[in-house]
Parts: sequence; structure tokens; C-alpha cells
Amino acid sequence: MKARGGAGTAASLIVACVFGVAMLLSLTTGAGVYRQVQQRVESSASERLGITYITAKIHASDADGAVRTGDFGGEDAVFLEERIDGIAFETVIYVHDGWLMELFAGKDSGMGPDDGQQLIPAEGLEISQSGRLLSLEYTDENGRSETAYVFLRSGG
Amino acid sequence: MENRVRPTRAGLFAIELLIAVCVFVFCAAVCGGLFVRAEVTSRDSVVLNRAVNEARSAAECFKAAGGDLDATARLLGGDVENGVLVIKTDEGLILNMTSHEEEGFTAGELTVYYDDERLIRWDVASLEETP
Repeated sequence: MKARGGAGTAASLIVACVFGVAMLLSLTTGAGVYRQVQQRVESSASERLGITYITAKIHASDADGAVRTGDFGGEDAVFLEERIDGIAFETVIYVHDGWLMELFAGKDSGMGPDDGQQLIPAEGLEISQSGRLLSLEYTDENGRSETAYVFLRSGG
Repeated sequence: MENRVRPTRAGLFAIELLIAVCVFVFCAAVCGGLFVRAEVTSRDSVVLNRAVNEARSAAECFKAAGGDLDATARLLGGDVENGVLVIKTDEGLILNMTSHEEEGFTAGELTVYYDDERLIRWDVASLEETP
């Protein structure tokens, strides 16, 4: 009887060990998958957020003479003009010091790139215009570039 | 009745442990399935996001080109084969675009494929005159 009891205890211990190892393995695998999914979601978000924001802002401001591109303190920028109570204001979108930035100020206010508000980390924004077609090459914080085209319905 | 085998403590423990292992295996199988689905969904979501971005840009270029596929191809870098504009991206996406004249505007159909699966099908139109 003693021998049977000993074998039973050993079997129970082995099963307990297998149980423990399986639990650790499944936890490790789960954590790994979760980390991968999280990284992918973050990377995908940072890749599309900036370019989607810029194109949405351009579409929202697409009125006759309201959209133009140009240089803002040495950075490529999109200028979106609007009039409030007869006063001209401009929203300037650009990348400066590792950030996608936005500045809303009176037109010709004399403000520079440092005065804008930081939106999300970004590396660069190159803008070119061919007729009514804007080409935006946005580089996110991880160095991945994406090009988006925006056709100005109003003619810019 | 006198020959009945009395369960030992170790035996009871083993049975309890086996039940726990069965429950654990069931939970692990469910969680494993969920992990796999999460992984697949996140990959699909990345591909779909890229597809939408590419399709949006293609539609903008189609409008800028006044609905002309050759001009759209020059803007986006694709090839026109048998009246179909085909654009292949580095990420493995394939964009197909066709166009036809409607009354007063040029209409088009834009489809995006990934791994032979159609992700997007949009109707696009250009009200502009060809530049």
C-alpha cells in the first residue's frame, strides 16, 4: 500500500508540474501576442493618424482661395485661410522639431514655427503642388513614409 | 462491501488536479483562439488601413486627371493594360481602376486586392475636364 501511495504522489506531482509549465507557457505566449498586437496597432495608428489629419483638414477647408502651400520658417506647410467676422485667420500645418504642429493665428501675425501647438510626433512633411493636386509625403516618428494626394475641388 | 478500495489522499489530489488541468486546458484553448483572432484581426486592420489610404489617393488622382486613366497612371506610377489601370504597391496591394463616360462626367470603378481577396470596391467620378 505504501508503494502505491508513493507512486500516486509522484504522479500527482508530475501532473502538477506539467500543469504549472503549461500555465507559464500559455501566459508567456498570451503576453507575447498581446505585445505584438499592441505594437502593430500603435505603429499603424502613428502611420495613418498624421496624414489622415492633414488631408481631413484640407478637405474641410477646401474653399475658393482658402488652401495654399508654402514655406513656414524653413518647413513645408499647408496654409488654410478662413475669415471670422471679416478678419482673416490662418491655420498652418507643418512638421517642426519632431512634431506635427498646427498654428492658428491671424493672417500675417508674424508668428513662427515654434509658436504652434504640438499634435503628434512626426519626422517630416514634404508638400508639392501640381495644379490642383497636392502631394503630401508624411514621415512618422518611426521613419515610415506615406504619400497621400489631395485634389482641391475648389481650385485652392 | 468489505473489499471496497478506500481512496488515498494522493489519489483524491490527483483527481482534483486532473479536473483542474481539464478546466485549464479548456480555458487555454479558448484564450489561444482569441489570441489568434486578435493577431489576425490586427494584421487585417493594418492592411485595410493601407488599402483605404492607397484607394483614397488613387481616387484623388483620378479626379485630378479628369477621369483619364493614362494621366492617372502617370501620377500614381501604374500601368494601363486593356483599359484597366493596375497599380502594385510595395505592401502587396493591387489597385485596379476602370473608367467609362457617363452623361456629363467620367465614372470609374476602383478595387483594391490583397492576396487575391477584394478589400475595397468604390465607385469614383470626375466632374472635371481632362487637363
